[in-house]
Amino acid sequence: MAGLVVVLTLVLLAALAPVITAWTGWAPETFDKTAIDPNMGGLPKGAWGGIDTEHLLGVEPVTGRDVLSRILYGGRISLLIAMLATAITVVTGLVLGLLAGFLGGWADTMISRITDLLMSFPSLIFMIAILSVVRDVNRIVLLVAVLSIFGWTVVARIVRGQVLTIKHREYVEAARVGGGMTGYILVKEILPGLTAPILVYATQAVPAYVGAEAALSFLGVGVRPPTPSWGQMINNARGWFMTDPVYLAVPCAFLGLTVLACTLLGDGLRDAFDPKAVRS
Amino acid sequence: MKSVRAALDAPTVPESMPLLEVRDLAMTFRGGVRAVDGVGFEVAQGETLGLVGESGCGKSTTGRMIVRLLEPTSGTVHLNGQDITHLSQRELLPLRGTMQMIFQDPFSSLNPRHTVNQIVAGPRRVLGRDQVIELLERVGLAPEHADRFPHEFSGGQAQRVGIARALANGPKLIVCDEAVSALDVSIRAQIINLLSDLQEERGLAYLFIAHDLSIVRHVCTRVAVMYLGRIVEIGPAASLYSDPAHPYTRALLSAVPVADPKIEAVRERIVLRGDPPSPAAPPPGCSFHPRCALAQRRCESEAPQLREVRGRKVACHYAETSA
Ligand SMILES: Nc1ncnc2c1ncn2[C@@H]1O[C@H](COP(=O)(O)OP(=O)(O)OP(=O)(O)O)[C@@H](O)[C@H]1O
Ligand code: SF4
Ligand SMILES: [Mg+2]
Repeated sequence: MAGLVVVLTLVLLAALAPVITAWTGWAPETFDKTAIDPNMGGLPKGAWGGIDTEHLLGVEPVTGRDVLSRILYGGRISLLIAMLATAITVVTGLVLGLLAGFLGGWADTMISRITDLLMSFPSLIFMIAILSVVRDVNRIVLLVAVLSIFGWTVVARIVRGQVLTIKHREYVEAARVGGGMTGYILVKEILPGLTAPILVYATQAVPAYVGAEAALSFLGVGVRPPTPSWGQMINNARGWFMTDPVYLAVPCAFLGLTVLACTLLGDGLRDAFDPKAVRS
Repeated sequence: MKSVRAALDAPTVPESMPLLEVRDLAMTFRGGVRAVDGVGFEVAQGETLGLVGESGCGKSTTGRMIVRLLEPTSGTVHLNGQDITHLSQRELLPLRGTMQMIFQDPFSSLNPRHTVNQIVAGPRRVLGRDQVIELLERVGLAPEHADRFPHEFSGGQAQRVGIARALANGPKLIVCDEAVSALDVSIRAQIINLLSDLQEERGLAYLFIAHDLSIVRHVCTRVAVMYLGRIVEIGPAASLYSDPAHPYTRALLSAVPVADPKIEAVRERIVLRGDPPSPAAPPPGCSFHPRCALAQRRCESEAPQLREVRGRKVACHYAETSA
């Protein structure tokens, strides 16, 4: 429950980023030279990374850009990428897993081979390679594509396994005997049994993708400046963590909170869908 | 022209055409398991044929081929004189009303996410809500059960839902695959009585699958005994019970307890040695010979064919001598 509240709050904050920044008066790209101390090598004025009533989460060293504003806009990017990648992964994996499990035969063989191949790939190295080679493409689209290419295989595996067990349940055979055609059986008899594992998977995939996007941006192959993202902020903050630890702590805290909340939500969903828990 | 049409309309089968006719039915699964190997029988309108045998002998596979959940490897299935052996699922649609199935596990045969109303109305929604309620009442359930989910029922009630579903299309033939085996003994009798009442009321024919002879005793007009994918004895229930001709039938019968304690105390009991062999590698000759007390040399090499013995069909070289 706590997970759900936190996740919803984070999503809401990210969605309302323009409203909130209009209210604070600090856009993510606006420099604030008054908030930094040029004599200290551009460190924010004040002990806590420049946190005061003007900049609620402090400012970026050197430029004086508002950290809250950049966190909100960065969160938008991170969550957008994670959710898009999750959606594409789930839909692709669901369709291919259903086909493989239900049709069997050559369809199953082909899909399973592709799954095996992609899963045995050193995906992180491959992602870094693609992301650093391909240049003039929208980074967000590229990140979503690269994450999805390697992500759907997990869903396809889960779905295929589930379909194989559900397919031979007696109630599916009863539907056949009752005159149910393939479409009916897929949609009405098999799909409902897949919603629980897929929802649980999705709640785990979102934080995993937030983390992956952060990691790739941290490595410098993800979202490019001036677009903010959490991983990129953490990367920038690396050089400052001795002198301005708050600048590093804030994006790390948001990343950690997101991952934790999504994981809690996933556990909660898993319990909610547990048939034994439902029955008692 | 007209006469041709008339001839087509009235199938060229005699009046006494059986409702279901199965010939030389065989099913070989991938990996070479011959689960069913040349099974043939008939079921007449309104009749009950029992199909009995140990676990794994191919009873369910036979039943599933008849309702065409499986496509037979060879042989034929005729329903009302129409060859349905290789019809596609779509071609089978009009026949789905004629033949139905009741499954062994009342719970796994009901989708846990569907209400009873949805389940009984069926994929094609052949019944409206009022008709569903009428059917539920007929099988001994209450109208308010229509909106419940399967897990809210006891095993016996769930099986009643399964029966209502099978009745929804107004079938002529119902394959009952161990329909009462999973139920408590006390509930078994109730369900069997319900099935007999429905049979009389609606002129149903049953193929009643069970793994021991005691269950089928009271419901069957005829009984077929299966062993390792083949029928070893088939005939009228009365004579098969009083005078079994195949050593395997006798062994199965001797496992059935007799109500009278005096007879129970002195009656002969034949214990089957070992487990049935795997259908992937059936023994040569008579596949029952490794476990048969009467087996001779001949049984190890020569497979017995089904032939008339004392008013029924038996597949045993020594069926006459063994009485
Ligand atoms: N889909 C399948 N693929 C491969 N082998 C199968 C399949 N279905 C059944 N078999 C095998 O065929 C044989 C007969 O199985 P079947 O289910 O027809 O037996 P049964 O007489 O109904 O037994 P039970 O009393 O256990 O229900 C068994 O050896 C079983 O392992
Ligand atoms: S043919 Fe031989 S082995 Fe088979 S049942 Fe008869 S006596 Fe026994
Ligand atoms: Mg069976």
